[in-house]
Amino acid sequence: MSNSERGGFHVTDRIASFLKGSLDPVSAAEVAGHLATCASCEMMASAIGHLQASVAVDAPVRVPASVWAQVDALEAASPVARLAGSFTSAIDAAVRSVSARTWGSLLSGEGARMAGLTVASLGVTALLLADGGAARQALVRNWINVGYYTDASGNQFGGYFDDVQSYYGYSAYGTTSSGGSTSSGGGSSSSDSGSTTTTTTTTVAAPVAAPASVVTVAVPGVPGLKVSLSASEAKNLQAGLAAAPAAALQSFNKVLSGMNPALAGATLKLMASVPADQAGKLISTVSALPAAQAGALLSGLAGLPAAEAGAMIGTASTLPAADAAAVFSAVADLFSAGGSVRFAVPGAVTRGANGVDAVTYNFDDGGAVAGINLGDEEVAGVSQASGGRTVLVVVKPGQQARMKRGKSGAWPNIALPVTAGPRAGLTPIVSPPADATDVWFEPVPATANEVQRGSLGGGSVIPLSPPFSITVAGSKGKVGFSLPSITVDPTMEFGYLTQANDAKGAFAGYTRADAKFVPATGRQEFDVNAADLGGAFMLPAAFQAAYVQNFSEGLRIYSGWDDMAADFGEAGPQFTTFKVVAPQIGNRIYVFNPVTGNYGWINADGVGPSGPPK
Amino acid sequence: MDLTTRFRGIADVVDGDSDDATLLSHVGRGHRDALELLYRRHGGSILRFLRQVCGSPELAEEVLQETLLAVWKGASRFRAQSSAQTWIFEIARRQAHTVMRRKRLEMVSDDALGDVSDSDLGPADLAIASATRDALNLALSKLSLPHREVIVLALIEGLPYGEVARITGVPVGTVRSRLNHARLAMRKLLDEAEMGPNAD
Repeated sequence: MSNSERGGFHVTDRIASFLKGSLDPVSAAEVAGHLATCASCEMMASAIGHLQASVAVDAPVRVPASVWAQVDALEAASPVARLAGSFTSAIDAAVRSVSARTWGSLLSGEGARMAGLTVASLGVTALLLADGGAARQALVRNWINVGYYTDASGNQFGGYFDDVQSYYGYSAYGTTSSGGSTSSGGGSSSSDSGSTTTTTTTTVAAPVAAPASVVTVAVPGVPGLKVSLSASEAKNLQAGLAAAPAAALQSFNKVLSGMNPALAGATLKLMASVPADQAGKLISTVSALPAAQAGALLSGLAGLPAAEAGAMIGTASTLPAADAAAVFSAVADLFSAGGSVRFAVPGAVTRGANGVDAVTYNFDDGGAVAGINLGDEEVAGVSQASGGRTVLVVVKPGQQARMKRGKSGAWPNIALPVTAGPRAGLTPIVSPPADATDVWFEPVPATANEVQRGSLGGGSVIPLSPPFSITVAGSKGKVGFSLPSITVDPTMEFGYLTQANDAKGAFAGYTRADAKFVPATGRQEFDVNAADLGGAFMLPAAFQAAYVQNFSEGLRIYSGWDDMAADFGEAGPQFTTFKVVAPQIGNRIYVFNPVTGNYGWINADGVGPSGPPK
Repeated sequence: MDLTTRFRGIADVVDGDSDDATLLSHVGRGHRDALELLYRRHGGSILRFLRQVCGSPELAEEVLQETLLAVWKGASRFRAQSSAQTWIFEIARRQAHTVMRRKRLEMVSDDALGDVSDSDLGPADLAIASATRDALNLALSKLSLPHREVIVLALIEGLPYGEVARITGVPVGTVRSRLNHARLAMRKLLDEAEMGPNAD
């Protein structure tokens, strides 16, 4: 190593920085020391110093006026895209601009003011409205990615508002469009190039006009809880309350009284917006749940957009009471688990060739980015990220759900509660791979025989419910599953069975999913190849400990149950005791091999029943 | 609700003590004072660079204005993957190349050059150190564009070689190699000037 390369770097690389005075003191001392002893570097320093002095320019003082003139022209063309002046004054200017337009009724109140403006993922901005009241809550929904937020006192916050509820009686949500167009200038591929501009087109829902006549509804049995409704809403709510049994209503009121007053009020407003019979059924269902679950359910429902909450209540009201309670219980647990939970509003229903109605769910909004227009003027933008969201899809028995990937290409996690049978409410959560185009779910599919219904394993496998079916289409990736773990008799083990198909794709039997139990969630997680999920049945089962033993030498162990499986060689010596892990498929049984400490398939005709190993 | 970051009023924090990245973030939100401050800090370096790259003070002024406008428009997308100064240099260089391409000015690509031995560089530095200011500027102007760029960024502005590599879009090794060749070329140009028709 030469003297000019001490420490793994070239001193010569830093001579120019040294002469400019931009090195830290330690490095500067090191370079100075080297220059004192190295003639060639000293000569180089002399040359660089001479160069630096030779090309000096006068230090500029101000940005040329012509630049500001161009900035002015830009802002005149898009006044809100680049708001001039201080943050607050820009917002106030936007408020004044807005109040003269459609939003007059919304912003005419003294406290109403603009609350925030943000740069979203593509540099578009988001416009939020604060209620201006004592609560100082922002009128934002959980899908708005907020960069900055200014409260009524002028304090600014930054962060991701993922669970802020709207306590304000107006809607102000941008509807997502099919996506903006992007144009790039400068020909740079750098993400920091500063040369990419994004334009978006969209519309914004008109604010809901203040009701013509407002009445205050006092809820019997819930002191202090009042909610302002229009006369027709109040009438509807009263009809809904009257539709519920008295005992259920008493229980329901108790739940309301334990809730945050704002959320309780929002719950009543929600119930006032759905048909009275549905509201009555919801009250009955909620009253059957433990108080904590009931509170979580109502709070979660009140936080959903009205259309989603209404659709959720509408779907559940068509289920038998016990099944509805089980489904709502599962939904309450989802809400309690935190994170963003949304309800998928059902779309078109088509009758399939198999006679089953398919309900379409479109996840188009996921990941979309859109601007918000007021009149012709884009004032804001919002982005919605699919990642981390859970979307709840509730489909009735006898129907199947068809979920279509959104244009953004991102899938949320999909919660698919079983809606009938002894395990109603059991909720698989599916994480489709990005390349999947469709996901199908049937909570109660038709089964051809007892084998499909899970009667396998000579009594050592006990199905805990009829199967449900899941299909993931168009993907070669792996599908993630999270399913609840069910407590079974201590002498048994719990697990999930997934369908195994023969070479022709026909049902051949069940094999046990290689699941991992997650103590924190009480759920089992496993992956399945999407290609294996063509209408695949799944079901929860309890496994009785069972053992088999080979009575002769030469028993082989295989990688699978069919003829295509690899032969792993001899399973073990004569009289080896194998633990049965999953039901028999064809002539093979899936076992744990104590000789190798691994799993594999052995021929059933090579073994016989046995007791546990001694 | 995650409110992990709290901000003071922005008008209060646009001052001379703010670092470059902070100033850029304010530029991104429309604060003209922040761009003025950035310009005061880095305008001289950028202008010096552009004059050498463009070869004319008038064209350098024109590109400088394009650069400032691009910084104004793109500041909100600065992600601090490099220093703010490097980011601005990247924009300036890109604007310069765009303008020069538009005006069909010299856009010399880097020729394949052989290795340079250390023994050649000492005389080159001696020639540079003893040249007059005018001779140096003339020699600089006659260098190829890639050589001018690395001379200005690495030697005159003193940017770390890694930053120079980012700005010019080449590996650090290429930056070193270009610098060595540029020094040799400077010596050659200075020698030719000394022995030219007006030399004694």
